[in-house]
Amino acid sequence: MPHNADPRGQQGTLHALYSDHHSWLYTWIRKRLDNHFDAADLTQDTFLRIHSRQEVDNIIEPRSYLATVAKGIISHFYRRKSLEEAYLEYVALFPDPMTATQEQQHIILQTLEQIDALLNDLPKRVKTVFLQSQIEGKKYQEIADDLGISLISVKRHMKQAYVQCLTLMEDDFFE
Amino acid sequence: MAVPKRSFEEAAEWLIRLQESPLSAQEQSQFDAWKTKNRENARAWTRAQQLMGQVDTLPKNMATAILNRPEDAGRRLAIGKLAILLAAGPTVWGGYKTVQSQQWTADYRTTKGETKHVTLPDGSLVKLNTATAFDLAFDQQARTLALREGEIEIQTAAVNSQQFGPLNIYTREGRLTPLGTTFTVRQFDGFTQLAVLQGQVEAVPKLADPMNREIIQAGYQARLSSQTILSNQLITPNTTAWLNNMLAAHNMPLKRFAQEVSRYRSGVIRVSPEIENLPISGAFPTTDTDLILTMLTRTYPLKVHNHLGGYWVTLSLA
Repeated sequence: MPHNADPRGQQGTLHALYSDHHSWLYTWIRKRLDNHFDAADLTQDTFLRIHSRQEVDNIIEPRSYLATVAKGIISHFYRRKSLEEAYLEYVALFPDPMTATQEQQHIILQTLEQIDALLNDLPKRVKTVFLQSQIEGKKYQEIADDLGISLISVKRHMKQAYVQCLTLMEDDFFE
Repeated sequence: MAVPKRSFEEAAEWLIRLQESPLSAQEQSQFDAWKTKNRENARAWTRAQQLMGQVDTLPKNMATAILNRPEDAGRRLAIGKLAILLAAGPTVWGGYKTVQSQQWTADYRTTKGETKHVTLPDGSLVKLNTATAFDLAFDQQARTLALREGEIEIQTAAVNSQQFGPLNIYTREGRLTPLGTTFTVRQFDGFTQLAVLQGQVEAVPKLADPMNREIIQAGYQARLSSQTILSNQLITPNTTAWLNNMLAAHNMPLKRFAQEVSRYRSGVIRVSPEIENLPISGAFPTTDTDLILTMLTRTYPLKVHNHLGGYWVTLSLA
């Protein structure tokens, strides 16, 4: 594989990658999604992501690389979709006059997506502990009693969750 | 410049410390010193404050329902062996019978004396009382919870009806369908008892005409046989006391009381015939059955004989 720092060279390599693998990747993504429009969008997103990483020249095994990036994009897409559906469902079931304006609703949805993304990879138990503490406002001892685990474990889970959130947050994450 | 992991770890430790109790003057100065020790700590702490600030803006119930929603992968995993059985059988009952005949392979269970909280894949919360077992099958058609033994409390979650079908609880006697609600279900020998704490629950005995359904309202407890609704009355304290790890009795015959205590205790409690009908009243801690027996001897004219290290207990007239 030639290593080429020249932007036009990169562009050319991306173009080659795109023409060689676009239809294969589209089919690959489509098999993992329910609808064709999304598959086309996500295929496009995958190439854009690779382009923005400026790693095009260093790709040795294009298909496995494309599939790896696409997997991340599909999982993000599903997570976001399921969050939005859960949100719409909740709002339909419990219309809240306090969050009447569209703008407020949008801000809440966005915050939910951000927190959701931060917590995404945590083990289920760690996430449960974090949500019980931070969202439901339970004391550590109450959580320990409820889940039948030790106070030390609750604190260890909290630390893991905090460290993950702080690490994944960019400095302007919530802006 | 990247913030080193160490600063995040220390920030996390301070967050945890701050949530436990107010800092002493000494701790406060340690904390202030940590924050200003270097730029990395300061940045880590800025992030921590932003995170806390954002979490605070979320409406509690909504955030719990949404952030705790099941993942797709989790949902697939949740469709376990029961789902396959259900899909294979001509009716839900057919599948359920197969599961009933299996011994203690339930997805969720507690042993004697144990209680447990679990969150179902749809975000519903279930508390399991002592010696309880249930199976779960979640798919796009329906969410099925089959109570095999014991007693549960369910707080249903607000869920996406496209992702999940209706929630049904099956007992030996019939089907219970919550209509947005909190309720308890206990499998007795020969009947099911339902107590509705919030909302409503539709109760359908297994052998009754499905159109002949009955809605049990909040504040009521009902008993079902497989043919009919046996009773529907105001909730009594002993039905819900277990939620606070208590056993409540009001003029309960000693023999029945002993059966209730046995649910939380390994071994046998025998009541001698002359005191079988002794009326017991009071609230007793289910987490300590030895204490319950001691309490009985203090209030009532009876004595406790322990054999086999407490495995075999006899209650007789003092």
